[in-house]
Amino acid sequence: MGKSNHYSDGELLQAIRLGNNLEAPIKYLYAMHFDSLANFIRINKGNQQDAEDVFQEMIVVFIDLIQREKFRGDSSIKTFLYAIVRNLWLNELKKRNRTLLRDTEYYDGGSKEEAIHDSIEANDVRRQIFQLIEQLGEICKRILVYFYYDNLPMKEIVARLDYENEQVVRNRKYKCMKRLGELLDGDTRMKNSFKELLMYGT
Amino acid sequence: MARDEAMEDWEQVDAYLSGMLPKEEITAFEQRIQQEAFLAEAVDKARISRLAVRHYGFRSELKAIHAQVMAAKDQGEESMQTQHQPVVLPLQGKKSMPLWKYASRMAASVLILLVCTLGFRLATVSSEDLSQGQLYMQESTRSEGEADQIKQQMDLAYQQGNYQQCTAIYEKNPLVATANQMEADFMAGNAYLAQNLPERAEKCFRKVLASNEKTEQKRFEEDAEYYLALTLLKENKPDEADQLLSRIRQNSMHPYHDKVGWWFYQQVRWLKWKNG
Repeated sequence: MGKSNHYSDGELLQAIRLGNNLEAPIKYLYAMHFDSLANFIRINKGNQQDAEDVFQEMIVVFIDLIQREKFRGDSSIKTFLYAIVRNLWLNELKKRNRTLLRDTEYYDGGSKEEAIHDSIEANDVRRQIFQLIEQLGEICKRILVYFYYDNLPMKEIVARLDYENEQVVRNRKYKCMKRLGELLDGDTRMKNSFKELLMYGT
Repeated sequence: MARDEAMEDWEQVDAYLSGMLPKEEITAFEQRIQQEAFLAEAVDKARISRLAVRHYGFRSELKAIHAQVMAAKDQGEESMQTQHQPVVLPLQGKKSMPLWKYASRMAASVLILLVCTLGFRLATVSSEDLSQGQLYMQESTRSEGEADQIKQQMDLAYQQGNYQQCTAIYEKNPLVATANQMEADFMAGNAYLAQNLPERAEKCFRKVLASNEKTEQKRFEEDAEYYLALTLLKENKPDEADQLLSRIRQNSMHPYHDKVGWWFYQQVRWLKWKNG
């Protein structure tokens, strides 16, 4: 399957479950669903920026739910994405203390809706974590992402960061992780919430 | 020295969590975790930190992809072939059934009134009525690419309420096989509808649906479905309209689901029955 090719629902779910290259599935989601979901936000009192923000959050929630096997394709992906967007947007409007024109009762209590709701709640914690890591500084962020997200080999990281040798990178990585640990310790509430998230699934 | 030991310990923790610790060391290390609270805490903290970084990495990648997609949209690049979706504002909000108060003294008279009103409404309902007041509203586009010029002219004409000019531009400048084609078809459909030219509008909306089917896309799909249904009502083809409307009504996730309310739908069905 090429990057810009079409996926069937099953292929898309499989690609996301594998999780080793999310770029193509994410771009596919944009190509197929951004326009209509953004339109949904706009007809419900959102603007273009709202639509873009909600769409990004939707992707986070969608991928989370697939990877935790909370969505296995029992309904169409499109329908499921709508459900996520609706929940996200209602949450946002509640925060803004605005009333929604319609859709005031869409938590039907079903297990799928509950899973969406849980994942959206978890998203707040994830956003805080993102902000926390932003405080680490550029080099730390790069080192840690290369190691723990991109899973790059040490040699490549040394080359990318233009360090003298692997030991320098190791030392730096240690310091960065230590600093991150301190930042997490500094916000016990967030740390505990994130810990709960760990148990609940990422 | 103490710092070296701390780093050594930490590297062991890191290797353990990465699954890189040699097999023969794993059992001993796990025993240490059980015995040394400090080490257990370090493992816990490292696990949380790694997960946090993974999530940070994912969000960063998502942000980068988002920026890339939006830039491509702005430039009208063909890679994503996405377009700005115009706003469709409901001009005529559909309301659910009123909550009748069954006051005992009024029950009989209300019922009679209701039956009379219903009878009158169903007797006089027409395709025209049901498709009225649903004009599509176009928001100004943010697209600036050269391929958007024609579409922008259409946008402008549409926004100014000059539907005739909008469709004239559309007819003179076919946007076949361009990224703007589908949006132009959709907008022209609405402009024809506003000019009371439902046959032409129908062609446009059907083009949008056919293009989606051909390319396995879903752009303007729901919008086109809904406005095609209204167009079909205008053409007094309630049977065909009903096929679309029932689908919208059954799908609670359809963006136009709430516009096809119970009462509206009952009128369509009644119209079908009337037309035999």
